[in-house]
Amino acid sequence: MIRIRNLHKTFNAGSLDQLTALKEINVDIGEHEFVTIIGTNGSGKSTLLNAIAGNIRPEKGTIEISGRDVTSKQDFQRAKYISRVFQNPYTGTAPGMTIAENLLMAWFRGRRRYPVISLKGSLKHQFKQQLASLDMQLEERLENLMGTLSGGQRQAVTLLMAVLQTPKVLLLDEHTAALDPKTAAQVIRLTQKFVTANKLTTVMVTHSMQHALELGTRILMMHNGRIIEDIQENEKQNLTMEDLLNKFEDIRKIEKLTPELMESLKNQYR
Amino acid sequence: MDLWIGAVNLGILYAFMAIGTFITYKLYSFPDITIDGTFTTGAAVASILIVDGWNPILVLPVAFLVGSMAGFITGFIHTRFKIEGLLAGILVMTGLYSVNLHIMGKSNIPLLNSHTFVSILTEMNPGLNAELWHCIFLCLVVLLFWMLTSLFLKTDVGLTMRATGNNPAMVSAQGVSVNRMKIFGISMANGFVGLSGALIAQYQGFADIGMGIGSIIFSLAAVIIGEAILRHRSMFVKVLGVILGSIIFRLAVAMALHFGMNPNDLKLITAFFVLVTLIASGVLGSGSTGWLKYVQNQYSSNRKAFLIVFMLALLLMAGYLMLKPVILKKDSGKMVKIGLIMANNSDIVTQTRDGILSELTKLGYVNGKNCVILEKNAEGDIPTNHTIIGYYLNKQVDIYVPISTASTQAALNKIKDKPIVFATVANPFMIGAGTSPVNHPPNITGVYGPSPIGDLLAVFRQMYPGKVRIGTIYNPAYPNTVSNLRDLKKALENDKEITLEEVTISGTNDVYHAALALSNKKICAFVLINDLTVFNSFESVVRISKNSKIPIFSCDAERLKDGALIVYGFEYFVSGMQAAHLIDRINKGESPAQIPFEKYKIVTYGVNYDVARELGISIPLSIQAAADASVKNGKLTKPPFILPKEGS
Repeated sequence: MIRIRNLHKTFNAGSLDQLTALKEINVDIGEHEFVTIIGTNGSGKSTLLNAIAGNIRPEKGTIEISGRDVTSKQDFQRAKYISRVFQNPYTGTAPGMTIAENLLMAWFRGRRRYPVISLKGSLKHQFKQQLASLDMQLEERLENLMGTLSGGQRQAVTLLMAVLQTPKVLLLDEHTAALDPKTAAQVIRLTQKFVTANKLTTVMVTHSMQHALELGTRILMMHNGRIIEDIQENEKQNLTMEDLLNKFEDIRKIEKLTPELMESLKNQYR
Repeated sequence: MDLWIGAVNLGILYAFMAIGTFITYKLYSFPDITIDGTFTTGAAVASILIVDGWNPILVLPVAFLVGSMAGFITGFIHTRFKIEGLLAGILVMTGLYSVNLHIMGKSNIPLLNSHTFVSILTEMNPGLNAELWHCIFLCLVVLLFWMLTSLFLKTDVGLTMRATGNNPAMVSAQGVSVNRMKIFGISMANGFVGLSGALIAQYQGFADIGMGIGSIIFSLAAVIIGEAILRHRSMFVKVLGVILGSIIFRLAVAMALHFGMNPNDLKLITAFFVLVTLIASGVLGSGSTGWLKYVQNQYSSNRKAFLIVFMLALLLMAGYLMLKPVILKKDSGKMVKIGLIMANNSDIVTQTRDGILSELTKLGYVNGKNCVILEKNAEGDIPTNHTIIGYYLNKQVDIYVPISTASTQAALNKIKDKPIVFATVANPFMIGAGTSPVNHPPNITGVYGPSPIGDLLAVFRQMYPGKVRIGTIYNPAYPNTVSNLRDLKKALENDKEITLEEVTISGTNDVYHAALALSNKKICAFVLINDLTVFNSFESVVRISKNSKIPIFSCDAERLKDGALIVYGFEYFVSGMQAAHLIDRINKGESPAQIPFEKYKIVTYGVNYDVARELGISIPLSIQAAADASVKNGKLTKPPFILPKEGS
């Protein structure tokens, strides 16, 4: 489904702040796979996600989605295949428009829009039913402004918008990081539900070791712009939190991380 | 009543522009200043096509298209080259000024005798008051426009536009090109503005290069008023608010005029009003603290109170209007009402006014005793001429006295059954007031005359014979200037030994550089045609004249004391005196139809000996003998103005 070859990205090339975010990334993600990406801060996991989405242009390498080379395509052109949920719950929805209007935007993801009024009776009814599946009592608030919803509710609607038209690839960028633990759990439950129901090919960046273990079929561990571990489904089933932390320990040995840095890393992934 | 209905009509026509600003400013948070240029572009395209014989309704979509092309350019450079929105707008607006001049070919196109939507409406009039009939029709049109616009904003495309302004990252993730959507919206907005320009040009009877100035502030005001009086999420209510805002704004202009406010202060008050509302509604950033936050809270919680105060004001106004006929009857009796309309504050206009007033006094007219003399100045703002006339219609003025071309044009267009006496118009035929001094519309007469450039050249030739080079500076944006330049070139056709160097300017700031450029071209004299811009910065030319010892010859008598060497020109004070006599004749029962247009009767031929000494130029005796005015040792001497007797 996703095929990435020799991907390379450097920020601020040629300046003192030069930062190589991705180095020779080669990865294939198959159909219906649910991949979680973990890694240290600045390891390149968000950059990789943005490169797949088309927000970042790599200077080398190619990205293919279901056989099409999309490397030169911009984000809105890739939206035909890809839907996204952002870390910031306010990025994915338009606060000044109603829930129904937001859903309509997603209903036409990647499709041509015409000057006709589609948002009426039957479609509204359909949206209402889908909102009910969120279990957040939003189905009666179809005409409320998005801005009146809480962060968690907005993120749940964003998730619904992402799957309203079944995407070829679903990208989740630490989409629970800004939520309180209870809401985060709720959104994770919804994520699981939608991905399973639609058998979606999913790539999720997460800071939570627990989410990485519980969700998905495969784990990619990144460090310093490289994929250093690729844990496939059969290995992942028996993986424990301890194993993952040991793998970080290995990085420490290779990279000679200071114990303080190691400690902060552990805290981060607790 | 005409004043108020006229204001409503203007408000409706300007509503199309306000909708454009609503799209850019409210939907995209990008106050698009391009519209200052686009408005004129729409008017220019419409007028040129109408003069060419196009159907006045058919020109509207063309104006829309051309307007949207201008918007497209703004949107394109804003999105493609990441140039800040405001700057992109300013760039395109500045460029459009030249484009508009090219489209029009001159700075003002009269549509007085052309087929416009107004003349079509007049033909269909079932016998109502003209303004009222227009109003009824325009209300129907705007009703349709309101429905269509609101519905469009509810369609999938309309929703996507709104979402683009609300959260670009989100629409991008939904597969919409934010850039393309922005360009589309800005194009559409400017299309509406162009349409508005085309409608206004037809309604007021001319297109003028300066008619778009300040559009952005006025339409922002309309949008903000609309938002303050009607607050609801529904697109129907929002769009209706903008239309009402536009009408209310025009009513406010009329009201300001009605209560004797200087219309020029309106711009300051509008700008202030827009700023205060922006601050109060918290648009300028949410991080405000202290008193600012208090004001914002007060505003948002007391919007109802604001609305009530506003309604009360409207009620009071309505009450006043109903009682007004009673009040007016008391004091005005049977006195003749004379209404002076001045286009601006230039010397030429004020001299004319002084001439009219002083001669009227001599003829026995005393303001408040046996006549009522009203005076209003549009201060250079073209639409205000129109509003002044509406105001006079309301006051039931008997004789309309427009001074200068712009005011006369406005009066010609609106006043059909009352006498008009114009004064100080270079070429009344150019603006559609008939074809010759005797063949003119029955309700119009006045005083006119092109500047005597041929005579000035003859004097110049006495001093500089042989092969010479002269320089002139002018602003092509003024219709009078263009007509004066044509006269100068015509006069030069008979004299092949004079080479003319011309430099065009677009504002007073350019005059100094223009004069400098000419002085470098080895000219022997500045021969200046009458041009307001040049006269407003005449000092700049005088400085170059002194530094490079190049004398100034001018067609404007007033310039003698300012530093011209030789002047040969009409006295505008006398133009006013002549107009006063015409007013008197009409008041005594003569019909303007029987009074031919008069040319200016007194010419001043003057020499400034101080300048001659400073530049080291000796004045030939023949000129010294012929000249009737002079400046010597800082003292101006002029013969008194005595009008020749009638018929002589």
